[in-house]
Amino acid sequence: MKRISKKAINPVRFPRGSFTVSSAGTIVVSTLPGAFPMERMEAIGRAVLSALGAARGLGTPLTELAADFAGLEIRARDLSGGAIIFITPQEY
Amino acid sequence: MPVTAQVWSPFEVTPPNPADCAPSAPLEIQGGGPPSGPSSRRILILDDDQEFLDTYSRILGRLPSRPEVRVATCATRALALLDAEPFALLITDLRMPKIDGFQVLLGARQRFPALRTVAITGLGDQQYRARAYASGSDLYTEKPTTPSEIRLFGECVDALLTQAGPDGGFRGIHSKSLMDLIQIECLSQNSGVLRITRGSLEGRVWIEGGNVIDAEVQDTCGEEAFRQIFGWKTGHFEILPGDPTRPRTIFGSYESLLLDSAQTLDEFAADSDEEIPGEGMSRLLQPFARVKGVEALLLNAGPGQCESWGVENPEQFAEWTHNVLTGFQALGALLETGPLRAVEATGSVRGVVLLAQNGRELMAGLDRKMTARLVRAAGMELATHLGKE
Repeated sequence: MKRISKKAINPVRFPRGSFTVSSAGTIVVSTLPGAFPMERMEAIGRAVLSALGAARGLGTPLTELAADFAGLEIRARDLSGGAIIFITPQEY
Repeated sequence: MPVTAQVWSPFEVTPPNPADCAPSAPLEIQGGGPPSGPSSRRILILDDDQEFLDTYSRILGRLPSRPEVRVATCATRALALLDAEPFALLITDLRMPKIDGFQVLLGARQRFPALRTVAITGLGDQQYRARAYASGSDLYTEKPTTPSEIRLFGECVDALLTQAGPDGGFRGIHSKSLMDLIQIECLSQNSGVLRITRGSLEGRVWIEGGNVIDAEVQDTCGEEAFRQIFGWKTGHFEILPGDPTRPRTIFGSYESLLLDSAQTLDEFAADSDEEIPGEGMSRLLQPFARVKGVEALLLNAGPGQCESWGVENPEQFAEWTHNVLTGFQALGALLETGPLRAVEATGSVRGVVLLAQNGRELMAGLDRKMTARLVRAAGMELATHLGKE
């Protein structure tokens, strides 16, 4: 009988924490675990700053922005061009 | 039936000259014009009953707007007065010898579009009412006989006088809300269908024997529909003949219905003083516009298929919406977070909800006073509508 092996499922677990990104996109400070890749933080920072900056350019400055994913919530608060960003795993 | 003035004190009346009432005079209205200045409070009452004229000229002369009241006992005299002087309001009896009130209303509406008109009659007749509105009357009412009816009539007349301009209120009862309109119909124990339009929206309220029995707007019926219609602050109405076959879905008294609806409106106004949108909007956007707090909408279904309402520069916002949504979707793919459900934001100018479903992107601008929690609730409701479309 052929042995059936199942590939182990490793669900992505997101950490909970926050970090601050400067208007230039540099990560200033973070409470996220060190294992959380810097490039991911930077990618989040770029998406947030891009959305906030473009909204400001359209005359609709946003003070707080949240991206609601199935597994994660990214909530950002504008800091004069930069932003403080909170990462929260969705709980079900 | 003689009516006594119990609400307001007497007023000096200019009596009509019976010699002016030439029976064969043609119904041709010349000259005159829209009232301005003191004439904006000038009323002309036309009735062949001198006693009625005496009574109501006294009553109306004591209204808060202090109108100048002129009277005429025949259509010819009334038309001559309209021709000679600017009036704000014409109140006319319908059943009169020679030239009846309908002819006067038709002529007056055609010649003096700014002139407000009230048709008043001693007979509560559905056909009369329909004909009066069809003749361009702003208000049809039976001659009031009780103090409360007289007071209500006076308030309606005063409202017609004090509210100027074609854009405010409902045609027929400017400055008066739907509450007043429905109260008048119910107090008169009328039966009819109140058809109310506001932009592309149309609502109907069925009244049977003085009771509100049903309401309908788009896909909604009953009390919920009534509340929606009740929230409209402007619009046009017409009264259609009653429909006794209409099933009754509203069983409470009209007073409690009006009270409940007014309370609902007050609660809404506490959160947002914006009125319910509807005008200048495509049907595609209307379900989204009914979500509480929505002030602007942009629906992008692909190149050349962008609908917007309340957005000053839709092309730029469409691009921003697309960029933000695709940016976060790409981020979601990178982070393996699962699908993006919504992007929500609060701001000093507006709150924003961005959604993407089935190749369509929606941006909703929200009341800036809404908290993040309310914005999220609005986003969930908008997503439900987007999923239905």
